[in-house]
Amino acid sequence: MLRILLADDHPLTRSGLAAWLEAEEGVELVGQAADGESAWTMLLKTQPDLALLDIEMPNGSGIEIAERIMKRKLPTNVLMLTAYSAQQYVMASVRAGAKGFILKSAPFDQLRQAIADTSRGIFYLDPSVSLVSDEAPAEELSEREKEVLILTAQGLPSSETARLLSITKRTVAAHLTSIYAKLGAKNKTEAILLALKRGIVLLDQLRFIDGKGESL
Amino acid sequence: MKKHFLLLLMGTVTLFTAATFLISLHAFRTQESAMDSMMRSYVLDLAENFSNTASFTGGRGQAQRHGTPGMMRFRMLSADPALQSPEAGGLLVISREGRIITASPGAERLLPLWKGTAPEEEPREVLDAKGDSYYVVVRPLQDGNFILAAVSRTYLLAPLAGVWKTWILSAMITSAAVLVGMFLLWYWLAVPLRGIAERLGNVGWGKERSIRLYNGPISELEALSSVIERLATESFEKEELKKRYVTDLVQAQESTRGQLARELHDGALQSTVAAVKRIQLAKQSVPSDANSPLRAHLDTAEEVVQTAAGEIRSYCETLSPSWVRLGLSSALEEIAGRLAQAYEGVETDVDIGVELEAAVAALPEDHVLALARIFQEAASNSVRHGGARFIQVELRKEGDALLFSVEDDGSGFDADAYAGTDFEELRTTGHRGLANINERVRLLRGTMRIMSRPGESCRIDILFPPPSPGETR
Repeated sequence: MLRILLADDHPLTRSGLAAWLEAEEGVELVGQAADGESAWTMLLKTQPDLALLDIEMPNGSGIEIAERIMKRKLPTNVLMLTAYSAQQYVMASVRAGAKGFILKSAPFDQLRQAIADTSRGIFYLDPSVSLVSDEAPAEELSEREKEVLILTAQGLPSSETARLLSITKRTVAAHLTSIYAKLGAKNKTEAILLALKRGIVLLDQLRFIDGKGESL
Repeated sequence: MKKHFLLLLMGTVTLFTAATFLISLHAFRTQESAMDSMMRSYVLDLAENFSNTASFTGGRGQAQRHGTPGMMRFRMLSADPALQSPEAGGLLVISREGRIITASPGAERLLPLWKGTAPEEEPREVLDAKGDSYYVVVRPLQDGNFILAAVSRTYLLAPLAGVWKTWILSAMITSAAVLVGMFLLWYWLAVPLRGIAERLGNVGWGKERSIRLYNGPISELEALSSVIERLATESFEKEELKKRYVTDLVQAQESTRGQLARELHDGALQSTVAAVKRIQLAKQSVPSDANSPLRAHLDTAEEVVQTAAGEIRSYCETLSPSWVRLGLSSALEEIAGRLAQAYEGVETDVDIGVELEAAVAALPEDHVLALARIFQEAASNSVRHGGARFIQVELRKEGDALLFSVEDDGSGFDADAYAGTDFEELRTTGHRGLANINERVRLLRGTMRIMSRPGESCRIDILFPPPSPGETR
């Protein structure tokens, strides 16, 4: 039985999701929260396997809760549930430690899949988050390219990436260009998301080096 | 021509005055020489008249007695003005030894004018002991004596000379007064007026709060310049007001859009999403394989509501991007990603590098929004107009301020041509991009510098004060 906590400030959406979760087999809804603060309290109390968190909530966003879970090293996996489809929300969620990202309007089949994947630690990305070249065949990335991609994904500026790898900024840019070509990505974020989706880069490799990157 | 009216006027007056002065001087000199020759011929006449009358033959002893033929002749000549008064002149008959033989009345005192040599055919001008000027001529008489004729210039011409002296003096004083007047006119009026005109020519109306046009003794100029100075100040204040108005407008627009987007998102969008969820729930209880009309209705309903949700989401995006709430770094990355996607068709993809100093990356939402809009505008300009393939955006501390810079490797443009231009003017001439950037810069209370030249890259630096502690997130 997978124990799930649901946090969404919109009552109708929350009750709709709750109704489906309660009817779903193999799943137990252990709590419903309408804002960030109560979600956190409930989460500490119930220690669920999976938290379905809305991003925009009063008294603490889903991203903040995910960060706290990561910092406290709680066993709960996070699946972001949101009305926003911007890539940066995915990146912010991923950096905050979320395992999956799904839009609220997604059909239940996809939600079922997302719950299944994230609870097992597999990255799930809503297909509606536009990735231009999802189907393009991916070439193998070199080890150095992977390093560059991971550091970039951690949110480091290219000067910092260059410093850590003892290469020049120009070389970093060249690596990124090569990575985009190999993955069929059009930009940095897309490259990272594609790499995550295809398992080229693992979620755990993207954890922040503390103090680096942007605080939310 | 109009421009030099004052100069022309002054020149004419000065020239005219100088001419009058010179003509007067010339007339005076001509008069002097005429007087001189008149006096000479007068004294010559006097002497000749005396010597030409019947020869003086009287004995030496008799000469000084009245009734002698010599005296007779003096009497004959006594109608002559020079012999009317002892001061006016006189005739002396002098022996070779220099003794006075006979003299016109009172003429004995003229003996010192006799130099002891004779004859003197040409009249000469002599000063006597009193400083009076005399024309003197000495002629020999038939009896071997001499006749000395003397005419006082001082006495005879005194009234005329007085008139002339007064005339010349007054002409000189008038000329000098006019020249001094012209100089003052030039110094106090023409020079300041030219200065004012020149300064007015390069006054940045609306850019300079206060200008100083005139500081001098002429009250009319003072009044005129103070009116213009006030106009300049008013125009500056008006311009400031306009700028503030535009800034307020932009701010109000942003906040209204933000609010509208939030309300749409929290209201309409959430409700549609809830409706989608309900439809999806309803579908759960209808077998999917069944070819029932209910299932078809539900599918259509879900599709319609999903479309509505998508539309609302994109309205929200257009109104005010929600991702500015994720912070500057994410916002810039999002824009970078979108731009790169938008220019996907371009031969080489646009690569956008984002470098933020971690310490300064946490900015309040309105700052993030302003910087995001600046970046959006600048980056799309770089790609569209400069054909840039690489764009670097940076935020770092620069002293007490923050420096936000966007640099590209595009073809650049002549930034100097825009130096000092009013960005509102740019808006009216179609350069809306720079005007839009400038408005956001003003929202940040910052300053902008564009460094670019044709054929070289373009760099926009924006220096703005860090948000006050109350503003930070």
